[in-house]
Amino acid sequence: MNVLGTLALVFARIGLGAFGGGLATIPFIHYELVVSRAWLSERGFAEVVSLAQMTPGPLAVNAATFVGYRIAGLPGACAATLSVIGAPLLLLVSALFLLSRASGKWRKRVDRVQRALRPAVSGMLFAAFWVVVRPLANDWRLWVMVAGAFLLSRVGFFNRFPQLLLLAAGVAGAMLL
Amino acid sequence: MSLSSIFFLFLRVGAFTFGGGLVMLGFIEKELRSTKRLESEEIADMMVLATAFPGPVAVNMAFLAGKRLAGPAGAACGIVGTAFPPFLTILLLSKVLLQWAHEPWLGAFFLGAAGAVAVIIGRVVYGMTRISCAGGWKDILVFVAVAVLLIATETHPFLALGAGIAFRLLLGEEGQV
Repeated sequence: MNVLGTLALVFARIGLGAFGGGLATIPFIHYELVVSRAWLSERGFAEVVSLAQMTPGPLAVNAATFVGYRIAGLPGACAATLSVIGAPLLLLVSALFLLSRASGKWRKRVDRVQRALRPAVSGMLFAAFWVVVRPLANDWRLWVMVAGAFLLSRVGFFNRFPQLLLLAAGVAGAMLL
Repeated sequence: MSLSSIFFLFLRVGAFTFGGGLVMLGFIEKELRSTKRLESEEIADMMVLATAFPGPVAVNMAFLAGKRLAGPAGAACGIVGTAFPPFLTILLLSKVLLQWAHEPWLGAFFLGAAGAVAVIIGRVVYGMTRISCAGGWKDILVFVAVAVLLIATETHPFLALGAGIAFRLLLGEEGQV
């Protein structure tokens, strides 16, 4: 298979397997790009993670553009990005289509599963939150940062423009830490 | 809602957010609320679906919200608005950013920003958990079970979510135990 096809296939798998929200998906992406095939070295992967942190967007999308470009230029970047987004969307679209056709007894079952989904997904999101918080726990200065960010987030101005909260916390970090 | 305002809503989120998909989810929620076109429970249900399906959460959310607001064309606008800024940033800026990646001040900046990221994600999780666990102790039990499975036992997220749904269904509906 040519390079573009391989890129599309691998990133379709990454899109479909990156599950659980945010940083929780990093180990899986690491496995696909570093362990399963040597598209990135350990150092390269660390670079992608910090790049993803510095740039907007979900990590999986950032990684797709970066790796796709590195391996096959602009067409590679397009192929990888499109399939990391497109493959899961295709699944979502077909699932929604099937769900919308459910009626009668099946409608009730679908509704019940959807309600059961809520607490389960919340638990999963809490675990994703934990992944973010755990590394901060070792340094008391970061506790102060978190407390400060929390207080600021209650202020109307930052509440309206949460992006500025990120920026302010970053600047405070650069000056204090 | 007009297609261009949907596009720019998601472009704003796509372009001015770092910190990954879950931070974006929080910002999308805020933006959707301020349009006053959706009930908060409806937004929460979309967030649950977006997280429960594989793929970058922010892209799934853009699809669901865009579709709800303006049909398939709205969904397309939402997706392009979300994914285009990250794509472009990585293509154009990755060389420059990687040169800076080892600067200590940049490290401190992102450490500080991580404090705000924790707060923003924490609020998303808190808001969603409050709505999700409205059904009482059964919901809370499922929430805790899924979170513990993921954090303490490193179960695969798919399995943990499936187990959570099954567990919740097994516990039965309120009032018909």
